[in-house]
Amino acid sequence: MGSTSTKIKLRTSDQKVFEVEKAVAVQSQTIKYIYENGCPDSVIHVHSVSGDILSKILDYCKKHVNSAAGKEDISPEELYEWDANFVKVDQNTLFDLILAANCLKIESLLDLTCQTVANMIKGKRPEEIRTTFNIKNDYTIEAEEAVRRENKWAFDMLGGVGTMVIEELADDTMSKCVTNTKSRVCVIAANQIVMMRSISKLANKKSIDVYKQPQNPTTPRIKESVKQRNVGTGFIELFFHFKCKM
Amino acid sequence: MSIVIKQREPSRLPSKTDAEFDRISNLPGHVIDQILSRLPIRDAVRSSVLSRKWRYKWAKIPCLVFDNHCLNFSSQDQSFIKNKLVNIIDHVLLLHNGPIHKFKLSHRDLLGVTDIDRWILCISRSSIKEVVLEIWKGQRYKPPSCLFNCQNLVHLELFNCLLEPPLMFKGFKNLKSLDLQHITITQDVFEKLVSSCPSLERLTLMNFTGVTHLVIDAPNLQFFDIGGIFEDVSFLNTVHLSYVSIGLYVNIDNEENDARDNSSKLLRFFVNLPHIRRLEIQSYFLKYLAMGYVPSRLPNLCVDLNHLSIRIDFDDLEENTAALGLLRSCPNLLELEMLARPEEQSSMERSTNFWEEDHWSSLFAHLRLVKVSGISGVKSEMDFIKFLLSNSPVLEQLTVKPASQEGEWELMKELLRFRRASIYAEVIYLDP
Repeated sequence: MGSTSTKIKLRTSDQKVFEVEKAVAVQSQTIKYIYENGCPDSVIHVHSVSGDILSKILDYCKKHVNSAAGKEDISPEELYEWDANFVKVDQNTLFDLILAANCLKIESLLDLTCQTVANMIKGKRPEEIRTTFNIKNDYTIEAEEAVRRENKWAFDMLGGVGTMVIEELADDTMSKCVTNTKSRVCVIAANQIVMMRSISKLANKKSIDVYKQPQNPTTPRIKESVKQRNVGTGFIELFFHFKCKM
Repeated sequence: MSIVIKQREPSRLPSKTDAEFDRISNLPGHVIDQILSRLPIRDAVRSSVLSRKWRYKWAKIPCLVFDNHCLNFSSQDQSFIKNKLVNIIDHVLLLHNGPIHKFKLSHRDLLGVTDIDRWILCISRSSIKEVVLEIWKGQRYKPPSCLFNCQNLVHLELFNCLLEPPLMFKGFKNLKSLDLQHITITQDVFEKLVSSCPSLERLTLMNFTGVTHLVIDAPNLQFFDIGGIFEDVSFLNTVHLSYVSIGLYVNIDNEENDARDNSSKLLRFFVNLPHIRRLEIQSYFLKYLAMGYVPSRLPNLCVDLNHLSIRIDFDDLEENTAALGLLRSCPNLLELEMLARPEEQSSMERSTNFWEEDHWSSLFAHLRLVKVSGISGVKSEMDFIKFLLSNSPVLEQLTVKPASQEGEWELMKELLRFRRASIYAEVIYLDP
């Protein structure tokens, strides 16, 4: 390569040295600042980042620099896909990338990694999030109830306490239904047949007692726990009270 | 001499197993803000229950978005929805604890209500930088005067609003981006607003009422996108403007105007756009530019103009003249798009070919990509394409998309015959 592109040397926490083109390295605002305000020939120490992580980050920066400069023929959709694959890593690596992107001030990489973590949280129940990230629940039962009350609107669904709205019960949705002993599940179904299918799926879950059969509204226990209501446009709504044996 | 970057958080040993340690709870505060900001507000607030550490992390997120995604129930009952939404926003704003930099309100069930006034007052006390307010239903919403006190505003986006700033209003010193759609604003207020925002870089104005003469005085403006009904547009002091997209949504009657004013709209339009790079002439704007005297070429060439898109009626002589004058004035054009305007009644087809061989041989010297859409195969359209193909020596791709399937075959047969100046030229035919 006959070009006289400037190179910058970077030394990582585990003493690995990387020599990269200036255009790639200055994607990091931190490195850019140091390069422009310090001695250009010296090695920049990146104490907080390991060799493996820096290597990945440099791949990212290189890809983005090349695509923006038109050196690589890659469409925006392809770049988006490349990014999506880039973050398909184990959690530890992901957090290392986040911390490094934060420290090195690489905005687009920080955006990408934070969005990835956000996607891992979105739509999940708190228990699932805790499992995914190994967060220990150190609330007492009263404290947790207090927090749920404090932000009642976020934990409610369609008005009632602890109700969940499900359009049609898929198999994996069923496991999401069972949250705690007081949960009620509201099934909104397009018609009676879908409704029956959903109910039978719920009934099949061994640890749930379905306290209601839709055909017998007269038993006192059943009357309490089931309300049926037309919410217009052909949808039927049924509330079930579940007791969870887990 | 070596330089050291120290990370603020203690470093962790890398571990092979997934989620062996709870790393997420110990991320730096602004990183958590970034993560939580990317969740719908409901999910962000639910994070409060994860562990004690998480209880008020959500309350610090600087970015609050209340839109159709964040509140995921639907109901037939309008006032029920409205009440619930109002309660939620009140609740969040009350418990929020920290600066709010971005506030977006865009829920389809929310009418312009006095509650919004209250929320704007709340955020105006919080060094707000971005405000997006989309009122989907009801009359024009008039933002309260406290909105105009937000001197940290960098981006303001309003949809279906009525703008009446207080008399004391001196402009937004830091505003870089202004997006106004479906708004009512008077001429004076608009001019004063634009000229009193010295940092303004982007201006979008769509479907506006009350402004007929657009006078744009914005020294840092780079991006200008407007669509609506107006009589006149002129740029003062817009030397950095590089992207302009203008749509005039009303058909103007040329004969009426010719008698009154013989000055050239085309000349006036370009006099203050020396560095324009992308230009889109939409709807009937070309007719506007064709008013008055049309020079055969602009005195100052648009040397930076690389992308040009024109909506044109190929049968209209004035429009063709204006287009040719414009094409002669951009020697470095790389991409061209010509969209045929479907006229209600097409003028009589002329037998003469407007697009004769030009003496200006360097017309399309750098042109690489061309797209011609909405055509129906009439002579004037085909004349243009023939002219284009035989005068563009470095053309790489011409894409042709007709308006309908009628006359497709004839069109394709004619296309096939045309001589091409560029041996690399691909002619791609797209289905209508």
